[in-house]
Amino acid sequence: MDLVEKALVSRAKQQDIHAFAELVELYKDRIVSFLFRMTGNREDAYDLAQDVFLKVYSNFHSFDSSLRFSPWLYRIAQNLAIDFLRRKKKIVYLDEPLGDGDDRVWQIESTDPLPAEVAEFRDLEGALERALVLLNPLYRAVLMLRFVEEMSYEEIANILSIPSTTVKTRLHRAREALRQILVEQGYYEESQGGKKYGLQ
Amino acid sequence: MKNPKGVKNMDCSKYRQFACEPDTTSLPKATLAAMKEHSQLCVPCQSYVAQLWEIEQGLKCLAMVKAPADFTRTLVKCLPTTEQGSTAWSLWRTVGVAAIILLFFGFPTYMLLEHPQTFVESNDVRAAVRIVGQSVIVPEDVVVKGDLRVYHASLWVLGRVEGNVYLVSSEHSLGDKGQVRGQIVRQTHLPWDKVVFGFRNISQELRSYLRGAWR
Repeated sequence: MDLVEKALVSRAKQQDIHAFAELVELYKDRIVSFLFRMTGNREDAYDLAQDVFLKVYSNFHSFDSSLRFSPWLYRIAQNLAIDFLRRKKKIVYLDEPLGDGDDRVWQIESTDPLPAEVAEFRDLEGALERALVLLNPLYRAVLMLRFVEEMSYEEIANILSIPSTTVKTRLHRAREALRQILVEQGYYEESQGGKKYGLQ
Repeated sequence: MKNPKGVKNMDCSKYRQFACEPDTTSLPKATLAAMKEHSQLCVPCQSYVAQLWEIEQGLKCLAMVKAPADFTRTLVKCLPTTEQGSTAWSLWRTVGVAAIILLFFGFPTYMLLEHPQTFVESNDVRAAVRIVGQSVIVPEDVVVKGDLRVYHASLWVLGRVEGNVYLVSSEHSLGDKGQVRGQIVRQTHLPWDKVVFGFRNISQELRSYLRGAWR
């Protein structure tokens, strides 16, 4: 955490609204992006982001200033996103186990326009956006935190409250599951030599 | 799962498992050699690894979703201002209560401290403090010298000095050990420089023993 951010966090902890607003400015786009990828819906992401920052503000007293701020922030965001997805009735529980301690596998049947619908399907970014929505949220979270937020395994482990060895396993499976979705969507051809991976 | 032609040491699933390791350099040399051999001969696995790499790069390049322009402003408006309001209210409430306490208790206390009840030294026995009964010698270590001592039904004054007033039991010990029952104070600020002794903070119990010209 750089010094400016540390100073802002310290002031925001004292309920300094201006410092808090500056922190929000620093993180709002990243949090909205993360939540957008978690929920697959822009409006939900905005609403959840508001909830995340409100929760941060009201729970600042419990934040240990000696730690980095962003993992704490993402932990709140991740928890709210998972709660939100659980509440959503559109979640369908499948039987296949996750295999790393959490046996829930979810698939979202969303009626909202998918992010990828505005993108060219053959475009990798569009294909990824579309595939991400179909991916298990727990996989989505680990992929976002690792490749978008570029967090360490330890930080991700801390955010998701799982051991870092589980983070590595989950990351591997998430990447493989994402690839498999891209194969099923026709973006990639199945590589013949490999075992066909389903959503695990 | 069949190995591609010529690949002996590692099958595809093993290769893919190792290829997904976050740090392949930490793998044993033999494994790395087998992986190298496999990747040179197995086109599907080459494509598999390339796809994973492409996915990683694609994720890293995903466009940032911007928050609405008024996001922070809207959020700040939603912040629990009631907390701040309640803090301010608590502050005012505390000040108010303190003022009331000061008004009702502070002022009389101040008056009492600044204007102790006094009695005037007088030759008139009836007007002075009357000593009832005999003096009792109380050990010096029990009662501070110079203090006014009251022995059950009698009053025993050790000169006109300032000090605390204790209640002493008939067994020559402090009845309520160390408990101050009142104070005798000297007032010298009178314009005619007349020495006046006064009592303050006199307990109800002690009052009954003090008889004199109270003002």
